[in-house]
Amino acid sequence: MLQNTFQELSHSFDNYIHYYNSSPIAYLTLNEQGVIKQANPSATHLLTGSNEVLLDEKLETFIHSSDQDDYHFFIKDLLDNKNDSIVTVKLVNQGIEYRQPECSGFRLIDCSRSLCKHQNPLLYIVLRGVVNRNIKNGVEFYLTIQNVSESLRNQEIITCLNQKLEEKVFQQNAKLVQNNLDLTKKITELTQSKKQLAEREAKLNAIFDASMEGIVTFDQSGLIVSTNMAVATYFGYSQQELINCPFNILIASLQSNKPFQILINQLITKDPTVLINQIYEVNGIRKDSSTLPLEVSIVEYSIDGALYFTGILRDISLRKQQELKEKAQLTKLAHVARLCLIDEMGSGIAHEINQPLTAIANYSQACLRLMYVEKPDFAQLSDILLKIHQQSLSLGQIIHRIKNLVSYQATLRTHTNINTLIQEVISLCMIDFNRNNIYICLDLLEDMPDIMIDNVQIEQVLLHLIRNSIDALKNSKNQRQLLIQSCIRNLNQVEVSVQDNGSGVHESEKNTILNTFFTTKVMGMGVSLSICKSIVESHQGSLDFISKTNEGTTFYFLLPIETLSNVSQ
Amino acid sequence: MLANKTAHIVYVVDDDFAVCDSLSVLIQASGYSVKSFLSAKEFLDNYDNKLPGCLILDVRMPPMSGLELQDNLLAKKIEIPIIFISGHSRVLDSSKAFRSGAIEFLEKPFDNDILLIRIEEAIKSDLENRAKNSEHELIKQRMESLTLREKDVLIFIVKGFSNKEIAKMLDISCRTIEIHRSRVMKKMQVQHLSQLAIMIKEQLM
Repeated sequence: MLQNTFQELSHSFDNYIHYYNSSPIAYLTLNEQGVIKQANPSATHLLTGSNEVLLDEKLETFIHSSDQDDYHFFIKDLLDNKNDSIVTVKLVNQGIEYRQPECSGFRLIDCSRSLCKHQNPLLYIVLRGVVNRNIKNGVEFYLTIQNVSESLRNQEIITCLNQKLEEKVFQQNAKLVQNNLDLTKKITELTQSKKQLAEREAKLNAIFDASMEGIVTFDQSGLIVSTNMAVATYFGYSQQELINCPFNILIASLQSNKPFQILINQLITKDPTVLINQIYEVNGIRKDSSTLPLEVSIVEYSIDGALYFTGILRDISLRKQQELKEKAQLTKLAHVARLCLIDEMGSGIAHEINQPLTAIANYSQACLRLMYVEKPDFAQLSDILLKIHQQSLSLGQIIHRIKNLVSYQATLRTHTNINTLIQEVISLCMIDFNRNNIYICLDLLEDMPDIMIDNVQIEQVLLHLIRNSIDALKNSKNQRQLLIQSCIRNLNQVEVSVQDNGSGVHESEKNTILNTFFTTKVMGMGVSLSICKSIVESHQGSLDFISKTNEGTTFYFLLPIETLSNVSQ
Repeated sequence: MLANKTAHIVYVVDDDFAVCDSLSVLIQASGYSVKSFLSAKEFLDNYDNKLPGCLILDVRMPPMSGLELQDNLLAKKIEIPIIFISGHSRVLDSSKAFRSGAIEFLEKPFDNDILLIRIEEAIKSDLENRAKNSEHELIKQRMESLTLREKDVLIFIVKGFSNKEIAKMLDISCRTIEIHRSRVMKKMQVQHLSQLAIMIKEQLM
């Protein structure tokens, strides 16, 4: 029995030894002084990192200095029979690098926590123990050591991850809040702009209706889509009446205005070459079929692929009246300038008239004498009478020309050959050329086409220019020369130039010479030139000059060949 | 009335052909010979001083005006009477013309009768001038035939000194003076002292 018991005991002791040595849990036996008396391989390995014997060494030497207090309190607790006490301590790094094989799939980037295994290679253990007082020379502590580094670290990782997650969540949250704020703001803005839009629309509508200009929109088939109040006022229709009417009913016989007709046709047939944005002058037609002059410009736009055209119509009857007034004004002014011109030319003209008069008087006196001789020489008499006839005719022409210049007449445009006009003007100035010793040279283009001009006014322009040149030549010491040329420019303009070899226009006068504000009080040179410019411009022409100091000045003007239809309006 | 009008030449200078031609016709119809020119230069080139006549001249002509021609003639000592005609009278022009000896300044168109009267006057004055000029020439010749002593005597005679006084002043005998005096009278072809006085006076003027 005893044998059996002993055998069992020895067997169990063997088992115990076996378990003790092979257990993965570390066991330690300490004496009263904390000196290690017994350690299983696990414990040895845990504490030393190797299988070195650690007997007779104090356990506290393995414990990190910062945890010494905890350890001693733990031993004390054990002595006080508080068997359930446990303590977590760090082991001293004994030069053995404790390395986790690898952080299980995680690598905590930017982790700043102290326990992170990448920062902190220390081992953490948990000590538990009991006290055995039944030993003759004191007490013994039986301790189990658990390596908790791994779990602590895992905990740490989780905490860390949690923290990161939290941060992320926080960030996300902040973003969401921001987005929310933005959205709210946008909604406010939208509401506001909607309000503004409504305001603007109201404003535009008010402008649309209050506009002095008629605004009419029509679609591709030429039917009116909308009009404003002005259109209704212009034409005497109500706004309702006009909707869906063809746009053409507002414009008097499109045939009378070719360019505009073409425009409308092109618009409706979607011709891409159409000239939009140009201003056209047309006659509008009212409901009572009276007409009014209009200026029309058309813009194009499309909504959902459908083309629309908006015409802006302006009543220009006032302006037309003004233009007529200005034209009349110019006519008057030109007349005054002509009178002044005649006045200036007075002595020359008197001479011009006196010459043939003197000749006639002489011839007729001679005839009288020749008639009363015994045998009158009739052949000679008839010769002389013929001369009288010629003289009186030429006198008549001079008087006629001067009468034209002096007479006040409304603008009357006729087909005129400019060369004929030039020659007539020269014959009026011949005396001045002679007196001032000026050599006159003509270079006129043959077969000059007729142009539609007011003869008297253009003759006046020529006279002014020629007299201006004569004035410029008066002080010239060179052989005084005047060259008058006519030619065709740009295929559709007649150019007349008057060129002298005088001293040239003074630099300071160049800018003002053609633009002097004209008054009827002082008819200086500049004034007459500005009248010339106005006259030529009223013929849709242009007048300018080139001048070189000491080489002379050339005044030239261009008149259009094809202004026949426009001018007569 | 002048006899033998055709012997007198009326020059017409005017740059206007009609005026020039009509004047020629008229003046010719009145019996004068006419030479007409369209410029002052043409006239100067063709003028013949030997025949008596007058000049009808337009004031304003390019390049040499009538007034310039007048100055030109004066400078050349050609004393042809000038009748100016002008398209427009300017006081300045006419007064200058008159100062330089113009006969008349007519404004176109003018009364032809007046022109013809003036032409006649002008030719008469030309004839007189020419006659006077030829008389002067004669007296000049006669005077040149006098000896130095005779000339001295002549001057004292004309001044009204008596033979005695002259003899005393020249320190020669009264008899010699008498001989000189009769020679002077003979050479100068005068009978009376008064005739001699007038002759010398005119010559000196």
